[in-house]
Amino acid sequence: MIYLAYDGSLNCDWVSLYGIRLASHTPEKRLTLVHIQDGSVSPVRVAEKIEKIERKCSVQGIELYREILPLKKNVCQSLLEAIPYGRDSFAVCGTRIRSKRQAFLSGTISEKLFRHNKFNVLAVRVVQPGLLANPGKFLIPLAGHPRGFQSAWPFFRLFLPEVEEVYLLRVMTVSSFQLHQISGQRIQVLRKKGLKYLGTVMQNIKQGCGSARFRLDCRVVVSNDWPREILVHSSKLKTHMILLGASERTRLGHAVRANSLERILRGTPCDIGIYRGYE
Amino acid sequence: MSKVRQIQHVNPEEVYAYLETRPEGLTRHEIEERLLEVGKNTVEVSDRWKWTRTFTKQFTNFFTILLNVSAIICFVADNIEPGKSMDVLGWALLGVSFLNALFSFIQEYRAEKAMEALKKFLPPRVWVRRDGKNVEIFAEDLVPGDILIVSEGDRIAADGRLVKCDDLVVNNAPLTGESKAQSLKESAVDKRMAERVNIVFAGCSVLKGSGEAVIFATGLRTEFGKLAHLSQAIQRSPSPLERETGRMVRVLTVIAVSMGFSFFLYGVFSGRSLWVNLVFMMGIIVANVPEGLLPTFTLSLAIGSLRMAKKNVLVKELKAVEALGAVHVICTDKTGTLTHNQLTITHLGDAVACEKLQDKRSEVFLLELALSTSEVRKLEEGFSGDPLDVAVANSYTDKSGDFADFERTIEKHFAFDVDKRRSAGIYSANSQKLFVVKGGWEAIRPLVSHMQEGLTRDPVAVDEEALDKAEAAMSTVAAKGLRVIAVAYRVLAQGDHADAKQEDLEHNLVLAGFLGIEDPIRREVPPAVQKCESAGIDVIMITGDHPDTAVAIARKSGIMVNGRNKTGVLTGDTLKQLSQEQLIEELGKGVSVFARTTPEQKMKIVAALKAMDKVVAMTGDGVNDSPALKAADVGVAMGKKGTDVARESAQIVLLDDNFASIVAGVEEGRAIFRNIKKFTNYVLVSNGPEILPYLIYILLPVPLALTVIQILSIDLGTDIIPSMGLGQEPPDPEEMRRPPRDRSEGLLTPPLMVHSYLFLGLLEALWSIFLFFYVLVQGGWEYGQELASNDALYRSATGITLATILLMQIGNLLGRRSVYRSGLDMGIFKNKLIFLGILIQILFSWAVLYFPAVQKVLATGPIPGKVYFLAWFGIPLIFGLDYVRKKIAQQLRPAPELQPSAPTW
Repeated sequence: MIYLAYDGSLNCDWVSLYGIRLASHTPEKRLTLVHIQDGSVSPVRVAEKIEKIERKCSVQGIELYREILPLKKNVCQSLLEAIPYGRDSFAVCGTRIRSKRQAFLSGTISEKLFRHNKFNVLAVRVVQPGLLANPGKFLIPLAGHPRGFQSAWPFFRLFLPEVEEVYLLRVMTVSSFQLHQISGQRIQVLRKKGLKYLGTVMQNIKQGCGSARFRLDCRVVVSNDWPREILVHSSKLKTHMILLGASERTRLGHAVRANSLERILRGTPCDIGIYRGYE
Repeated sequence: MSKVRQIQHVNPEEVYAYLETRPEGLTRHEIEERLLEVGKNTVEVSDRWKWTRTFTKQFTNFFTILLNVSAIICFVADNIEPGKSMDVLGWALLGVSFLNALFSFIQEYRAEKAMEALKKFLPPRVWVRRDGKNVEIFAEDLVPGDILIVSEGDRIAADGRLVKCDDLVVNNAPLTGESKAQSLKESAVDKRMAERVNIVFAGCSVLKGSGEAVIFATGLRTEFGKLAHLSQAIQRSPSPLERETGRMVRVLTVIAVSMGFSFFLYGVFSGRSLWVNLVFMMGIIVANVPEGLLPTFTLSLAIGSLRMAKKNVLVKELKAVEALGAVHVICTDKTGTLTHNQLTITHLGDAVACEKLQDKRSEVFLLELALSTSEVRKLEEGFSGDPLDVAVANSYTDKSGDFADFERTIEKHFAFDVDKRRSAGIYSANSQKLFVVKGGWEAIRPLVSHMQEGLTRDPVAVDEEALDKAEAAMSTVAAKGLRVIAVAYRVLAQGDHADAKQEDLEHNLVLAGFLGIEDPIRREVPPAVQKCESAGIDVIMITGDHPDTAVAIARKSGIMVNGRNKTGVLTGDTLKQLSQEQLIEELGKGVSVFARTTPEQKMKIVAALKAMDKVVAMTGDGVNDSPALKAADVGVAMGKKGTDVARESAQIVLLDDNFASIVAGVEEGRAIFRNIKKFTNYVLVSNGPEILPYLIYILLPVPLALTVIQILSIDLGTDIIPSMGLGQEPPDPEEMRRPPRDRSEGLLTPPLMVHSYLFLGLLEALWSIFLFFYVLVQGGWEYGQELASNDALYRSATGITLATILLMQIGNLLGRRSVYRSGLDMGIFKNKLIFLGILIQILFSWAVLYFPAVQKVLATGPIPGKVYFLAWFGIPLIFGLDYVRKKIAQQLRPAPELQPSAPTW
């Protein structure tokens, strides 16, 4: 079941298209819009906007359920109470409407939902409204986790019917010092290691996708700056969406990664979805 | 509605709703909200600290850090014991460090001009509709949802979906590389956004008509913005020379610091004063670091770039001088680079067998048809327009006569459609109206229902078999290297409106014939390709042309040769389907031609070649070539036909657009690497006699044979001109008969270090120290006796040490000119800098001993003439012994056929 955490902003209007799109790929064809009345947008304006969303839903054959709820302790808490826990629930939300101290995710409701990890969460930043939430070309960076594509799969599956091209990216990170003295042979060794990893992931994706037909390719780069590589590859490959995992468990890892995620969110040339699957 | 997937699939009236706007435009509140949300419509990533950071970065390399730390030690030493001129030394070291950093910074700064050129493609102001009123605003204030109003001559500031369109024709060249005009429409299409049918794109311009578009992407999110982002974000990988100098500096720094620190500790534990130990440590470090080497690298590259400029290769980034010499693969354009880009129609073929038309009337008729679809203007100096159209007009004028007369009969022209790959026109002839289409065979074939074999015969209906035959005949002509264009027409019936849309008229066409167009290969290209072949460099041709034409040109130029493993051709469509690994496999099999490719696919080819660990040079001329030029190891832009953006993104500009010039540049680049190696070898030799006196001084109770200032006078003084002389040596005639050097072949190899330090360096050290003690002993010095730094005997002794080193460097210099030959056979006077360097060494060796001003600065003194003569003996000593070593090495080297590359240290 898809839940749209809707705050009534323009950004969320664009994100709502993602909610509709994903809902159209579920067997239930149902989207639950959850709006917490925190007073930031007038109820009348929200009602107007929701009506528009409902019209778009009906065009796509989606049934829209509205849950307009009063604010309890805070917005995050209210959302946690409204959305059922578990791996069958997908919350679609937006990143911050405007960057606060250059941050689009830090301190947002989306980030809090990631941290609570009660259900699957997809935080979307829309920078290409012209796509109408229909990305065909994906860039999926993978950090070399043994779980491979497993954490991305529940989200990717929801985009699957419209997917045309998928590029997996593995950035083999080395320090700046190493990068300037790394030999060609060492680069080849790292590349092979990355390719081996992505080869296995591609195999799994092909098996998982069954009859779905799309182009699957991969890139391995040796770099000292993985966020830059993600942005460069996204521009190079003209992808429509970057699908990036946010599942760092340690606090230190989280802090380091959060900064990099913000860089990607800030500089993204296409829509970006940050996901964290229910664990 | 199920087809509604992206904005191009939506009907114009629905666009507003999908983009959260309305026909009367956004409200002020909405604009403010969106501006905060999405940001300004600018393609530049704002980074106010960028240049500060770049400048600071220059001070973070090992070499600069070492120089700066040495300078600080000098200042500290001067503070502890003033009057020893240590502060002067400190300032000298800081000066060298600053100049090195400044030079590198200027290089990087100049390389960032591409963004300035890109920004020129965006207009400063645009017209939009907001709150129901048409207003002019700054282009950077555009937001998604704005209604952009465009008309003829405008540049487009952001990506927008057309909602109104009145005969709108745009030039999408900045994005597509195609200079042909493209007509747009507002209706929904079931195509990809990139196919650019109902979308206006930032950076492109309106050639004709007017329209309104709803903006859906601004700034870096536009297609143009992505191009700009790539141009900024792609960092060129360090050049082979940068990697090697980096490694060399690290090795020398580690040696210098560890040696200096070890002996500092030794001095402390052996009870010497802190001052003595500091000076000693400084001496060891300064003696170990070839301070003048990096500035000489830069000077050598600068001189190399001047030599390249004489060969029409303009170098924008000095490091590219050597990088060009290291390339394994040159990816080149066809038109203008391998060929002259002067199209000439050399074949007017009939529709059935593509055989040459025999009668002039048929020829003229075919040319008339083609001309009606061409957009050319007659100027005083000739025709102006697309090269193909100009070729048609020229041919028509040659065959028939008056262009102006015919031009008057043309009623309508349909601009070339990049996607359809054809242009069209309507003209009147003999009271009939003819609709004509001209384009690639693939674009015309589906529209053809009849064929006409010359003007004298009537059109006959055709089936697929006849079309297949025509295609085979056409391919035969294309295989000869001609670009073949099909021409088809239809006599408009009464019911046909001349103002109908092109697609409504494109049916039941009569294939009138084929135009065979030749773009002659440049005379210099085949020998240049041959040179690449013998130099082990692969040449890959990337073109938008038909595969047959591409293959023919590749064969003529020698890029594709039967019998060699270089026969593969890939089309853009196939390339699109290949994964990077599959492409690597294809390249490994010997694919040397990419046909029907788009400029964007160059990036894919570069990435695959780089993944194969190849050093890649890539040529380009269009705006959208910019990322590929930056992604390649050496980006080569065309000076004549290239855009400003391409020129600014490249490291090298070919002033004559000629492929042969790249090859000349490669030869120079290779020579420069060899020369850098020669002078590195030369400079490191003097480190031996600079280090040894300090080691003897700390271990034995003897005076120091060479002071820090004297060391610097060699490293930053007398060694510079001879090094530059070695850097200017001409390319070896065998240079382009060797494969590219191995990427693992470093600048500072163990054999080179042994030769520099332990053979020639030791020779210089032993002879100069021998003379040092000779002067001391002759002057009455006894072992263990301490001498003051201003003692006349001590000054004379250090003077002879310095003079001997300077003179022996002449023997070293002559020997470095050739690996196996003596070096004298190359003529001392042929290389003026080497001759000048020798004169300087001689003059300075004399001045050190006998010229008061120099004596004062370097704290030296005079010696008897016969001792000075002994110093001269050092020249034949070092030269002769090295020559003997060369002869032995020559005997021991492997047979020539087994040598993988040039003999190196």
